[in-house]
Amino acid sequence: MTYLFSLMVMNGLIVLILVLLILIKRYIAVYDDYSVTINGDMEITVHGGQTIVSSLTQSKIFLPSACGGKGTCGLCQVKVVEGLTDPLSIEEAVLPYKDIIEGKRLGCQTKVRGDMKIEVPEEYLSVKEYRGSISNIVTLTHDINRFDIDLIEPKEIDFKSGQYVVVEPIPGETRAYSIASIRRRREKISLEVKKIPNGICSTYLHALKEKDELNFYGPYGDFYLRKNDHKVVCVAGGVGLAPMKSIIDEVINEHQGRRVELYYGARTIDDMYDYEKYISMTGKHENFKFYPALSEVEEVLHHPTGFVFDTGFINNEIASKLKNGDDCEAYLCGPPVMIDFSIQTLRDKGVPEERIFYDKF
Amino acid sequence: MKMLILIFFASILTNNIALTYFLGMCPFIAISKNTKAASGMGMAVTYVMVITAIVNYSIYSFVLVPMGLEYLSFLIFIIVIAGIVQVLEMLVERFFPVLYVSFGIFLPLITVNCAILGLSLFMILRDYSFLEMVFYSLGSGLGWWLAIVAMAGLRRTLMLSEPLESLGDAGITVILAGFMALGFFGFSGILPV
Ligand SMILES: Cc1cc2nc3c(=O)[nH]c(=O)nc-3n(C[C@H](O)[C@H](O)[C@H](O)COP(=O)(O)OP(=O)(O)OC[C@H]3O[C@@H](n4cnc5c(N)ncnc54)[C@H](O)[C@@H]3O)c2cc1C
Ligand code: FES
Repeated sequence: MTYLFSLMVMNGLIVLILVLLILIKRYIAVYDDYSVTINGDMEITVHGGQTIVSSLTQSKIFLPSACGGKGTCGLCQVKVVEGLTDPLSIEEAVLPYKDIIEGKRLGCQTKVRGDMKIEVPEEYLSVKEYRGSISNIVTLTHDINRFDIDLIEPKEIDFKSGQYVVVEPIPGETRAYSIASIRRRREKISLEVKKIPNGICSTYLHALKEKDELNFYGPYGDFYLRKNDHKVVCVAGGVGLAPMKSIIDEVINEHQGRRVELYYGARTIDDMYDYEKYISMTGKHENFKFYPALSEVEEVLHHPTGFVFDTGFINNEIASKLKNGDDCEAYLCGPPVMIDFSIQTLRDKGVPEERIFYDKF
Repeated sequence: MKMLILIFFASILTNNIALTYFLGMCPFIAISKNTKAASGMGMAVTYVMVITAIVNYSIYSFVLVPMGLEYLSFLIFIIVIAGIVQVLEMLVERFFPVLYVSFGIFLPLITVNCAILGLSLFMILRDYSFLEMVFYSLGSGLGWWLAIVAMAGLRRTLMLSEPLESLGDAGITVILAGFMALGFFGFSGILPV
């Protein structure tokens, strides 16, 4: 009898709470529809209470996101012109104070609670959702794989060398990956993914097989090759080599007479990939120079062709190989520490601040 | 009346739920980095404590005790707390956006805060009357609030000093909490509860 009683009381209570929750959600905590104006000319109607990111997604406007809307990557920034609310503490932690006063907010945190006017970078409006199928998987190192992806829908992608796409292998978990294929080949892209221990998305991607489908959004990013005559200095750490591939290809094949140097750092030779290709390129293109450096190796390594792999961190390699006062433009990609040190070295070499571009992985 | 005031101040000072029982330690350590967030968290804890204590007290004395089902109290209290936090979050978000910004975002964290459950269990153990329970829960909430804001203030000055690196962020915070507990211990002379 007591068992019956306990069961009844427990279940009764749970049902009561559920009914209460449903009633409140249905009839009390309801939101109206609001209008959101984007960049002054496009107006969409959204149901209140959702985040800016999810309401824009419904209208096929895809803001970049590399953290799955957890408010840590800071990529989903929008500028709120009208209808600004106080920043949440997550936003205060990620965005600089200056941006907060200017009205910048994180699209994945700020919710639509009234009519709003927002501004997003113009190029986001042309970002599309792509469906692709993996045509080939190449093991590059013990923890880096390259995935070649044939585009199914839309059939072609137009991107600038160095930009990235956002992959959503598991619903709600978004991550950014640089496009590691060249710009001239528009019907497929490649991604190079390093497996992070316990990393949700990289582990998932590494478990994919050929013919598996993958959806992604893009292209995104301010990190792309500018068209001018300055010498291009590419600095890559580990899998940071990915976006350099299209940059180097574009300089050599499309920018007549422009010079490009690749500084490529990794821990050991086993963490490096595609170096054979760059060594052979140095022989073929006089405008291309390749400077690899291994940080956890004691002795200088000699390749059979006579090519030398220096020891030490990549910023030391820049310090010793880059000519002072050369008219350069720098593109850096890799772990944050490597980027910070290399930027310092580049500044010392006289590369102006506004000509240094980077993506921190 | 005197009893109520005593219970109120005792639960803030001498029986401070954070510093004498060391309950609700995860947010106490995680969210005490800046004063504003700490204050938001404290406010959220206080709200939820008072409301859950009242609901749990009513369910306990009007349903569980008459039916002889006191042994279910743990389970029931947990479910009630989870439900109430959910309701509160929806309502605050919809109707008080300003409050939501200051403490609403911490509400989901509170569902599993042991200080809230601890409070519901203590009030039963101590056989409080309804009014005593209200004062007790309000005092405990305010006490937790006071403790976390004080901690955030201390940690801000900590940034200027250089504690041993091996102590890390959490280590030195727990030690600080120990000193604060000693400090609060000093209050025990003034209150007989
Ligand atoms: C613009 C941009 C471009 C990027 N391009 C590439 C690319 O081309 N190739 C690529 O492999 N990655 C790239 N990344 C990184 C990538 O987006 C993911 O962050 C990475 O794959 C980890 O995701 P995850 O889900 O596997 O790990 P998560 O589940 O997010 O993280 C698991 C744990 O690993 C830690 N962690 C995260 N990243 C690293 C890291 N690099 N080293 C050590 N620990 C880490 C986290 O702090 C966390 O504790 C890029 C990132 C950005 C912002
Ligand atoms: S901060 Fe990463 S998606 Fe918003």
